Amino acid sequence: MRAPDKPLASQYQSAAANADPFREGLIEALPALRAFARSLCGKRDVADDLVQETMMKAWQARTRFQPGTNLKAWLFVILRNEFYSSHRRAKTVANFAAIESLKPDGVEAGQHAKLDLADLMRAFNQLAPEQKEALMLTAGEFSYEEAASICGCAVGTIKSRVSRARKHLQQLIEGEAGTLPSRADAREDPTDAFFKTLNRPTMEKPLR
Amino acid sequence: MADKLRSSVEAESIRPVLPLATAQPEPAAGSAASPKHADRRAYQKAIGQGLRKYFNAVVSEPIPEEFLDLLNKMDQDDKDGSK
Repeated sequence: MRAPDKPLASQYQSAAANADPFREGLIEALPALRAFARSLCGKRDVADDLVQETMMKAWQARTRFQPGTNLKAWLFVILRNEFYSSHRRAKTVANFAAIESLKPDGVEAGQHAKLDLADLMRAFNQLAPEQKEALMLTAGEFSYEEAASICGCAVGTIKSRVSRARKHLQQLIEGEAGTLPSRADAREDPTDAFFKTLNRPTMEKPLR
Repeated sequence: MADKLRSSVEAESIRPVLPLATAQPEPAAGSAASPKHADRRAYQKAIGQGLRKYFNAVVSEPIPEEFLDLLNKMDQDDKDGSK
């Protein structure tokens, strides 16, 4: 059992003292798995639950992992399958509180525009899951090729999804402000945004 | 949690799927350098940076202890099972 006074990192190290590369690789992938899950699920607790399900599936299937291949990508495939095969897909709701905290870090978006991260992530939450995953896999740590392999589609498909999703995001943010849940609404009642998300027909469309 | 651990996995369903679909043409990288086009390009780039920022913000969060608890439990269950 873990000692309560030790920092988490050293607990991980001492617990993995008998050098289990699978376990270590799993731990190493956890931050990225959590980030990917949160981008798909929106809500932190739903996302973390998805990551834990992923850990259990991966652990049970560990003998089928081929050492030397990309463990992180393998774990992402499991997480993604868990997401699409479970009820979580319908539970997509943005964690606006966490996103709002990023707001001062808006990035420059050209001569006349400034992109606000909270606006961006509210718009992101409106996208279909296959666009979300294409954006986040490639924004995170994967190449287009790896993202395509994880999603089980062609590289060109990932590229066009990313391109279309970015254009869609820009339209949502600047062109059609009325289609985005307003910031005040989001702060006061996230469940409104939740039901808006549920009512979007694209959310119910199967990926393949 | 223990029940979940013991539940069976559909092994084949978690095998990485290799690309099967045919390649689609890449979206044309516009070379027309009108100011409007340049702005749009900058905006698209900013969107990519913003998404990376979100991703990295979650990545830099400390991992909650329940994740380690789960790992330790799975480890222990394996050891108990192999006795």
